[in-house]
Amino acid sequence: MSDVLLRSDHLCRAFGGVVAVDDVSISVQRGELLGLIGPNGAGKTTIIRLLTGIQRPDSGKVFIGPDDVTRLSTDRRVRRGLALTHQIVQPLHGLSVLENVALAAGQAATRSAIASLFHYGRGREVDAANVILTRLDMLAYAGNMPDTLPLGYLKRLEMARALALNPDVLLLDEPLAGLNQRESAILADLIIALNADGLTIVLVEHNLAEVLRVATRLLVLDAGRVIADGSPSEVVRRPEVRDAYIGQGASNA
Amino acid sequence: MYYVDLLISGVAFGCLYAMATMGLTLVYGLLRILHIAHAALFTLGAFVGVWVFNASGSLIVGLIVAILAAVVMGCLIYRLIYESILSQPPYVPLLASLGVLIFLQDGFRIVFGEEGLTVRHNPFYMANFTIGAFSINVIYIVMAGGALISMAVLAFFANYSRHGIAWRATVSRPLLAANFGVNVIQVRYAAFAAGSALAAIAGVLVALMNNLVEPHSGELISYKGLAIIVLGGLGNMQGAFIASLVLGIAESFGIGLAGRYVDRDAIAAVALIATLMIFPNGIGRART
Amino acid sequence: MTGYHLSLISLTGIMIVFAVSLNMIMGLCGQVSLGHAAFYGVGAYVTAMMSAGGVPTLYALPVGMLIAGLMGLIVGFASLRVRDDFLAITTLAVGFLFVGVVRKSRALGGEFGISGIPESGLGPAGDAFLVAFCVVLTVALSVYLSRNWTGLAFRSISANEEAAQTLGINSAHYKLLAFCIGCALAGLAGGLYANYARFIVPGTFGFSLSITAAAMVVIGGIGSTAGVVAGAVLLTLFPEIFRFLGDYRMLVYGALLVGVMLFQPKGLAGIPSMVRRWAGPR
Repeated sequence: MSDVLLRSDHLCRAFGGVVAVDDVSISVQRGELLGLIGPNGAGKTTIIRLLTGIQRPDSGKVFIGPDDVTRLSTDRRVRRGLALTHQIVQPLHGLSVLENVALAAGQAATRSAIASLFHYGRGREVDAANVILTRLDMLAYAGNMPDTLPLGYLKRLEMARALALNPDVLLLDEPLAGLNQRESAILADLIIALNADGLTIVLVEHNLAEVLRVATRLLVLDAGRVIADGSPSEVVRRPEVRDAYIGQGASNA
Repeated sequence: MYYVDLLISGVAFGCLYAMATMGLTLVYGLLRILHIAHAALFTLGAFVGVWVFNASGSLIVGLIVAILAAVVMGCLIYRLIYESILSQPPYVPLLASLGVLIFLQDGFRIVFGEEGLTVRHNPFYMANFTIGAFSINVIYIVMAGGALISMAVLAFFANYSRHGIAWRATVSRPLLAANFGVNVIQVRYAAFAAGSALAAIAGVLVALMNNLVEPHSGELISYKGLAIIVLGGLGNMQGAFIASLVLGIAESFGIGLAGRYVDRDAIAAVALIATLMIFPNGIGRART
Repeated sequence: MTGYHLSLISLTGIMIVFAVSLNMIMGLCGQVSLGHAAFYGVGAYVTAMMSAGGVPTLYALPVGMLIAGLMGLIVGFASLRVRDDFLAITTLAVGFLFVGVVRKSRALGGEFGISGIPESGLGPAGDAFLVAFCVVLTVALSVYLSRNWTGLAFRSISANEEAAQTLGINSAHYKLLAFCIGCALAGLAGGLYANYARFIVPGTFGFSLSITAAAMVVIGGIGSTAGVVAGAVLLTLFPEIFRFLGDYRMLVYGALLVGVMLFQPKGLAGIPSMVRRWAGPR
């Protein structure tokens, strides 16, 4: 029996007349690894931003479990179990890699601004951060400042921070973009492993080969609408999906 | 009648603010620097202009020398100060700019004296222009007229000359403009030169209005200039012009109606805070 | 030690409290403020009015802090709406608004301010001790805040507010907290100043004092408590150190500000690491 952790209800969002997301209703089931694909401009990143509250929908709703969170800010949604990684890496400069991850692990200490005044020790959070950095093979760089690291490591730092939030649903916005083939494969394997450990994941990705390999279910978007929903092997055989990609002239697959 | 007087002086001051602070808008549009030292160029123009006018007896000669002095100083400030700290966080150029302002203001005090310079034969002093029941200070007309003419010239150049088009291209897409062969450095010098020249003219006009220029005369426009560029919206010339007029009129009516409770600067501050709370990104938007 | 020296040390201590309070907002939390002198002024006026009304200084000071902190909270709400350069201009306007209102207020003495503020009754040594106590408290709080969880959250907001939010940081609450604490401490510094000067005028709390505080923070090294303390000491004693310059002091002050920004934009706090880089193995 599967239950719904994250759900959108008729989401719409336009930017200056251009409809980016058009009546999108999706639901994320516990334990699945949902792939979200589509040609450029299909609205994938906008959906992630609407789900996490970085942007607000023109109409429609977002639910985390049974609760309507449409009006909640990003930080409150994160505290209700969402975590995301950004397509364009956003490390916190001026904080070391370890501090970046420890801050995410310190949800209890930073819950209330006033209460945070009385939290000093970081032992537990640093331990948690070290465990995650070890898993991502980044422990050697824990003391580094983000601006000294190449993109591949910053992508992993994004992932490490998101994991340190200990989320119910992890939303990954193109985590493989900009990585070479070997790095991509390693990170994709990690995503599979995390999902196997029971973490629910939504994966937006351009690299179709990797998505088809890792996803348990696939949603295809085109021009802001969901045009297909099903198992990866079945979805890619549908003609409308092929049309959407060919119409774009893209041949990433 | 009283309200008409307020409106006239408000418009005159608004035009003056627009002319005096256009340099700030040009520089902010290009470099995202709050170029507060610009106020010193205004004072420099006023001092040089009045000094030459007093010595030569010709206002035109005074004006030309004032413009030249301000243009040279403006370009020097870019070359010697800003060019090397463009990549620093914004408070670094801001404080450097303040340092330049303090340095130049004290320099004026040392060179021209604490009391400043008085205009010896001021053609506009106490001169009024009368139509029926109205009597307008001639200097207000000169201020508004001078501002409108010089701004029109600048707008013409910005819209039709190669330099102007290059400037607008650089404001909206610096990297792209550079890739299309725009000489970004030249555009910057042009912006500093044009802005400094306008500040010098404004400085001379204010000196004529007050019959006096002091080392701290530039403070009239220093922080209001910052307010205007931000209100006008990130280097947008039309926006800055509208913001200047709004500020001038708001101050004028504010003093007329609430002068007993707050001073001129505080009225501008209230107008500013209120506007920013309603439009957190300024009134106008830069063209992109 | 003469009375003159004692007074100079007291003034330096007051400016340390003031500069460190600004650093909490600007250095730790990354919110530019160009109107910090207004909160110093609020503290000074509240303390002065209460002292003149017969309230002992030691009771008046915390009230001044409280009211300055509340004012800071209000300006903090503005920081939720405007950012970066817009925030800088908003805070600048707040500074001008404060001076403009006080200047025209008969109750606050208008242009002539408040004179004859009674002594605290602690004596010269007691007053100096009070300032020293406040300096120690403020510096300790600043060091604590830069190392605890609040400070970590502040720094994350300073680095990238949107990214901080995706890590569950409620940036609005933290920014309000930063303004509240920073402005309350500025109010404390202002109260100490009223007690020290025993005579206050509105002009003292204007744009140039706000800029001086910002210069102390940036010349000292934004975000570094030790650097900001050094910056405050340097700029407060500047007229003393450069007494030999006579009439040219402001000229040199302007040049110094430009020079530091050009050649050492990380401020005094950047010097140790620079020396280490030179001295260290290549």
